[in-house]
Amino acid sequence: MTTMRSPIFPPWVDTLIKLIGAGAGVSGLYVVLMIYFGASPKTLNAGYMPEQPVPYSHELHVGELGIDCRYCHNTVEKTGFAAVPPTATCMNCHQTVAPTSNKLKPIRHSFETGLPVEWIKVHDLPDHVYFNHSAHVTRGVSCVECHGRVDRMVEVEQVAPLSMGWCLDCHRNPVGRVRPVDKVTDLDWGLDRTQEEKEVQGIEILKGLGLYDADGEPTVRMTLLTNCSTCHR
Amino acid sequence: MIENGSGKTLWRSLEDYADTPEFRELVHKEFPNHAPELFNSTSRRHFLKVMGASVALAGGLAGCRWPREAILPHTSRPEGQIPGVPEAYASCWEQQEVAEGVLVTSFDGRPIRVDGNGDHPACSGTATSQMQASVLNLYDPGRSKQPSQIVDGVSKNATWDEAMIKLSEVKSATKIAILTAPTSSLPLDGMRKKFMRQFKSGSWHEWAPLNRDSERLGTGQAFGSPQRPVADLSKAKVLACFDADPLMTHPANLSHSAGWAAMRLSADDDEASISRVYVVESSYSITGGAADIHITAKSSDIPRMVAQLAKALEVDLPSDIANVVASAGVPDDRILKMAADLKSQGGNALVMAGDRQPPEVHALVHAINVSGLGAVGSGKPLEYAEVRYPSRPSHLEDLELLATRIKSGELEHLIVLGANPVYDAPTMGGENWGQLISEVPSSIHLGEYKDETGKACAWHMNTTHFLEQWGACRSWDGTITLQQPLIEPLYAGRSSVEFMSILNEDSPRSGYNITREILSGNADSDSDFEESWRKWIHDGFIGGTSNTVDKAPGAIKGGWGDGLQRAIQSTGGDEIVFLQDHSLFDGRYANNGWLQELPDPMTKVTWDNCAIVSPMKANSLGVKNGDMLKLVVEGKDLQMPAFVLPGQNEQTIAVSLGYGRLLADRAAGRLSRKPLIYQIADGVGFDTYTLRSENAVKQGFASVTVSRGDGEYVLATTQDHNPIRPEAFMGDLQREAELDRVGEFARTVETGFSPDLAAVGQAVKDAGPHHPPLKSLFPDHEYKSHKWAMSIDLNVCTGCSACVIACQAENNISVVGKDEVATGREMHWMRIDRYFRGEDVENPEMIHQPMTCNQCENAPCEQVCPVAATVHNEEGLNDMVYNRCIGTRYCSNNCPYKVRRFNYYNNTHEPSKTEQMGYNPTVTIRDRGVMEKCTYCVQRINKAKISAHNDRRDLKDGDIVPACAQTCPTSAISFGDLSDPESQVAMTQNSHRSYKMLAELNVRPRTSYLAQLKNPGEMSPEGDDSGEKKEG
Repeated sequence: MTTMRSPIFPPWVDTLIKLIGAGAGVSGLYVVLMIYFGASPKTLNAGYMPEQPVPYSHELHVGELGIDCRYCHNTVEKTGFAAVPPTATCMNCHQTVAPTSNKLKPIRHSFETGLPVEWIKVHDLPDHVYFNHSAHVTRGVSCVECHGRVDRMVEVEQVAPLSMGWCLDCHRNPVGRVRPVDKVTDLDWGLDRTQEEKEVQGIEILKGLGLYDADGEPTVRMTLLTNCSTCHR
Repeated sequence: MIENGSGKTLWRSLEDYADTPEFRELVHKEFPNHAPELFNSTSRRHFLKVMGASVALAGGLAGCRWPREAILPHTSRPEGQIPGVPEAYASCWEQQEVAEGVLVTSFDGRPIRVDGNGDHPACSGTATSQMQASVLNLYDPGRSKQPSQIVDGVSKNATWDEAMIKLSEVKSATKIAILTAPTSSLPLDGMRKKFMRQFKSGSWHEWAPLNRDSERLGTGQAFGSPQRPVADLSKAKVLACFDADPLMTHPANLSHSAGWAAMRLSADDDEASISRVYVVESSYSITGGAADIHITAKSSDIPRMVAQLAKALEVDLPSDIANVVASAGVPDDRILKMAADLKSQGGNALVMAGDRQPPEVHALVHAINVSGLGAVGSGKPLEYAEVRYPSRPSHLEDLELLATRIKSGELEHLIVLGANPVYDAPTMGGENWGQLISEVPSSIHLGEYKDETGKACAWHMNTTHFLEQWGACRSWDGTITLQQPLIEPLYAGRSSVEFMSILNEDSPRSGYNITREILSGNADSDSDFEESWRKWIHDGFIGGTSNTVDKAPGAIKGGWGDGLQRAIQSTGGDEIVFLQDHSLFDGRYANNGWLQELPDPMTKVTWDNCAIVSPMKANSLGVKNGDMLKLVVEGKDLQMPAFVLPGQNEQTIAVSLGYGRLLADRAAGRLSRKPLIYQIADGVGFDTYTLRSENAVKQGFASVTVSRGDGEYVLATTQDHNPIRPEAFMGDLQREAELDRVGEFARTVETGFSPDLAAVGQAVKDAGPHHPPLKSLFPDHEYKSHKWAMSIDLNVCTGCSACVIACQAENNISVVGKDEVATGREMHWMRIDRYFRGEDVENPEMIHQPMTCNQCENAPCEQVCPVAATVHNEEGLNDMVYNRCIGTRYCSNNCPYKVRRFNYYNNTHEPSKTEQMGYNPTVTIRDRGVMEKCTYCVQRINKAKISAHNDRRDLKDGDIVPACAQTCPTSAISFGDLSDPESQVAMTQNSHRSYKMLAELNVRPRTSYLAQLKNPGEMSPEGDDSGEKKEG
């Protein structure tokens, strides 16, 4: 007759195994979620705010003084790049306004020597993406849609993730995101409208552009906007 | 004798024709030889280094972001300039003393493209491969960047300040000789005159290894003074070329090509008609390939044939010439037929002679054109223009004068402006030019590269690229063409004109001021100079300055009978002819990667030159492609690899010039790695100038003894790369049906002067495949918008390969090097398949078929991509998404046209800042492991669409022109929207001659081809006489 051997592992090991299993599952999930959210452009890129050589405040110039975006970024309707203004544009005013300010030293230096001011690029798309400003602002896509309330920024910061999925959201359905073309630089536009009102107006604007047909359905030109070669060449 | 193993009438190489086992294996391997280089990595590594300098990318990593980029705006933006919007400026590109008007596209101040200037009266708005590739030379890291001086036998860098001290020393001397590359530059001509006035014991010499002296001397003999014949091929219904290649190597090839194409039924209208081209030549040329009747003959036999033609035409000649012509023997049937055809067109016929023919043949050809055919006059194909500097001796005589002056020992200073005699001039009385230059106490070289001559001279000084300088040159018809800089000189070089100004003038002037002064006389008297100047700079030329005259310059003079008598003597034995290289010209583009890798239109060899022999000659020598041949000319010998080219004259060996360069500065003694790797020209090919004696330069050809050499050599030829084989797709089921049409990819129909288009259409259809009704497994795409499509007219494609370079420049296509090309990994999105047609391997017809992505509607590539990196776009393009591609290469395997290219290596790894300036910023640079292919220039499509929609208008036909179509000298390529029935491409795709390649695969390509028409008349091998009958 044999006697039952006592178990090698005490009973709490069963609980431990379950706990370890759960722990592994949770940490696996943690890693996945960490990568998914942690490496997403929303986390990595939105909020990027490099220090510029000159502490130029959009809040002061645009928000308070009411200078239109296109006074400085004057090529935005004509070409892919919304060119950063030449030093001469700054000096149009700053020859008389705050001509001796210390903050403006790099500007005056550039103006005197002809060497460019080295601004840091904030909204930097990958090199295989061909974004065209003119194609957007002349179709009623406002600056604010991608750049946020620059008129309230002291230092410019990236607010949107500028990821491909984010671009496609609008390329698939721009209805609530367009406004009359003459209002693209009016960053306050639409604050008094509901989303529904914007959508009703948006459809009309898109119809005028030939992107939506009379029945309010997207035309081919609209669906073409999700083709790969629209942005990647 | 080579047996026709394949039963084909259309073949790409002799291996294909014989259907050798090696060829079959090549056809069935999609990615041949993809392992060997693992064991042979040194050469590849060497090449990768060639591709780029190690310049670290600016900025470090900021957290997880990519490198920080700076925006550098102007301090004061020039009025009207918009950053990011490319602008085109008119300028001028010069080769062989002839200016071509160009439009240079500048992107934010960096010139990135050279195209033709369509407004220029003598230019057709198209560009040759060399014109387009010249922009790469601007950014070439191998360019000379500063002056240098030999001190105690060692070359060391110097500054321009030191160089100026040297020049002031020259200035105070008297016995100076200047040797320049000939140029039609007006400011430099002004400087020449000034120099001759200033320096009483000065002498001015000109030398170019490829020159048009025989034409110059020949017209001098015929008319009493040298003339420049300006041909308008759009008025030549019958054209006969004797060793002439008006469509490719002639300096006016672009306007010739446009004119020729206009006579080749480029549009199917009601009164269809087509010209007839005879070519008699010793080595197959581009014009020979385009000919209806191609006759091979030794270059030394051609003078007799021209004399027989003159006899058959009963040309009214001075008595001494008439006597020689009468003794030239009885013309054969071909000459009689040619004579009858030429005569039948009432003056709309033309005879041309080439550079390889002696002056007397040119004189006789002009006598034929003027007196025999009446080809001169308004509405006729020939006009005459003034030549520059008529009293100039021939280049060879000029060089002899200089050599004599050097040998006399009295010369104090020798200044070489751009010429490279050490490399390309024949030895003079046993002394080579390196020795001759060393005999002069002081020598200065001004050049873009510190080349062979630059290293032989005591001083080298760097000059400007043509995109960095001011100037004014004359085009073929004499029109003054303005040259303006697109960019500040990158390395502070001085142009030849500025250099001469330093010597000639007390206070040296800028090229801008000198050019303005020299042109001041051309201003319209009513308006002020500034106004005229601004117009010229804008237009790129001065209107009304052409100096052509539409009548003969005088009666035909005699006195050259003896020379003609000598020329028509027949000589026995083998001959060697020296060809202008289709890519490197005379060697000046040797350091240009695009041109080195451009397959030669005839041999399809890249990164090399070779000795072209006929199949029969190869047979008797017992050699095949790549076997070394030993060539002995006047006691000098050279071993180089053989290339067997059908259509080559049996007794002629053809070698092209311009290879075997030595650019790297090894004189320093230190084998510094960096400068070495920039000199990609070094060690490429064989220096055939060593065989080109004074006599060969004078005659155009030389006697040669040819024998089998030692060993073999690897030639990187693309002629059998990317072969298309329908069997691979069709399986046994259709094999029988498919045999009917095997090989008929590039279709040809023979016809007469007035083709019956319906019959032509039927013939094109009959040549096509027979297949059961086509059904697709895949649902059809629906196209509601634009349907981009292309059509390529094989009838006017000459195979010149300008489109290949246009594509390369536009799409940032990388250069991979010889080793990679040899394993079939060239990256060109566009290739030109060259087919031979017919059973006669000694003289087959040639057809060129440009091949690029056909943008199939039912695309096999899209169906196999596992990651949707190649997807169908709603306009019918097969979009290639580089960032999705994981490099399975399934798409390439499944492509019936073999047009996809895979980046086996990071070919653009770390280009230097200067090289980066040359890239087209509107196209992504591809990395290793990514597939790429033709996109129909989707960047241009998008650009046109955005700007049209910005202006609230619809796209119209012609808004979008892909780079290949833009540059095609014969306008063979049309592009547009098939959904617009009025568009040019829709019309051409409806043409009788239109067919789709491999239609039986049901891939529904968007590119269609227009079949080639040949008009051989009675002389076709089958004796087809349909055209003649219709005329009667």
